Amino acid sequence: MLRKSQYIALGFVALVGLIFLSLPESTTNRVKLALTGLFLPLFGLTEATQSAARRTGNAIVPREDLVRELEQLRAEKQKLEFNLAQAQGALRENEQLRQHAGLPARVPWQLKPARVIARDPANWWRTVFIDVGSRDGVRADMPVIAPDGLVGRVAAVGSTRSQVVLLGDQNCRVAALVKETAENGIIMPYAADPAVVTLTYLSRGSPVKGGQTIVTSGLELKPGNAVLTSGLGGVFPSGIRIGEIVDVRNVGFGLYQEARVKLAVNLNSLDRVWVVVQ
Amino acid sequence: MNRLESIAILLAAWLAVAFEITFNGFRSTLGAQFSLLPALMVYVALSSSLPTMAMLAVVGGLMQDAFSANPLGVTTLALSLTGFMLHRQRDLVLRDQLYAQVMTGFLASSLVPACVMVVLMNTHHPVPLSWRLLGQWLVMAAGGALVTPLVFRLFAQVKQLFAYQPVPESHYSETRQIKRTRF
Repeated sequence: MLRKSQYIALGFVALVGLIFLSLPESTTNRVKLALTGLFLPLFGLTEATQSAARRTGNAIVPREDLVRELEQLRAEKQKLEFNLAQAQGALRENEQLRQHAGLPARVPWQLKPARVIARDPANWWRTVFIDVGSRDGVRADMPVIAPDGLVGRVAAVGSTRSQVVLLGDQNCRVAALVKETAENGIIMPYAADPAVVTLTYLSRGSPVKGGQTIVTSGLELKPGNAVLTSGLGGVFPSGIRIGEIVDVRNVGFGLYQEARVKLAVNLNSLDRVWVVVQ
Repeated sequence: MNRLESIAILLAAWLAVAFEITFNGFRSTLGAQFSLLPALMVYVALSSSLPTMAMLAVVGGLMQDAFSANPLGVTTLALSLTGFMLHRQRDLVLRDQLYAQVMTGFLASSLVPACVMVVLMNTHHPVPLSWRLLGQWLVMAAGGALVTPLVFRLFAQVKQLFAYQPVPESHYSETRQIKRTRF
């Protein structure tokens, strides 16, 4: 039989757990972010260790390798300068055309670089913590990207840290479209593989026009088609790369299609990300 | 030693959570991250007092949930339930035996995530059950089983380090007196 002190201890722990479980989500997020402050020395230590390792690595790289890399980077820079000049020309042209068409001008993205400092210890969630917060202009629901494509969105914001929900988590649904066919769908998690997501609620055929019948073959989507954010929903801007289609199948008794999409970003090896702050 | 042991356990819980949130090697290779807190809870439940166990459940659980999308407090409940179950049966567990440590580690490391999942099913954060999740659960249980004996050895070393050293035996013994007799 349990003694009185044991009952008290058991009751105390159960009470603490239940109190925290019944708190509203905004309060819970604030408490969570405050608790992460206990690990500030760890984050500082990790950063210091990484920079020391980088410095040591830089010190032992042979000079020939550095010179070779420098030459490669110079050549790449020249190539990128040509691309930039081309892109700027296209941008100017796009702005002029938008002006003529009476469309509002596109707002360029403002990116805030961030470092991934912690990962979700639970295997069934896919979240990470980054080292920027409200002090750096980060707000909830801002998109987070990497050079290869979309990473996720900011879920909770502290003053110096934020929690990011990654693509493939069930709390991160994204309105997406297939670049080649302009089919719209929603990105949902795919339970069997963390590197894959499901693009669902895709229509079975091409859009119906006057005098056309619905194409029911469902073969318009092909493996390798690019999947981008559609901009619908207001959270993610349009045109961010999500991944490419692996395969397509009919679901919902043939009412719509579902495609498996291989993510463009390797979410397991995330280190540096960018928050789209505007 | 009691207060020192509590501090050592809290420090171990901090380190366990720090390992889980920063080390990504197991997740990349095995597809699942081990949790070290259940192994620590096994040691505390079998070797320490009830208040220390409650403290580990509250502090360790909250620290872990702070970095997770789990509702805050859910790991506290799971850890405390597992700990109390082991604590009640502690007289029947041969805690110094390796196989007992492995088995209790396996049990605790499979029970804690299972309890969390049961609680999550009843909140507005349900997790879809899948074969992958089952595989991850097995990896977590196996990892916990392997880590638990290491936790016992680590704390045995810590205890040895901070306990009073045994006084060396004196060579003098009252029974060794030379009894003088007439001859």
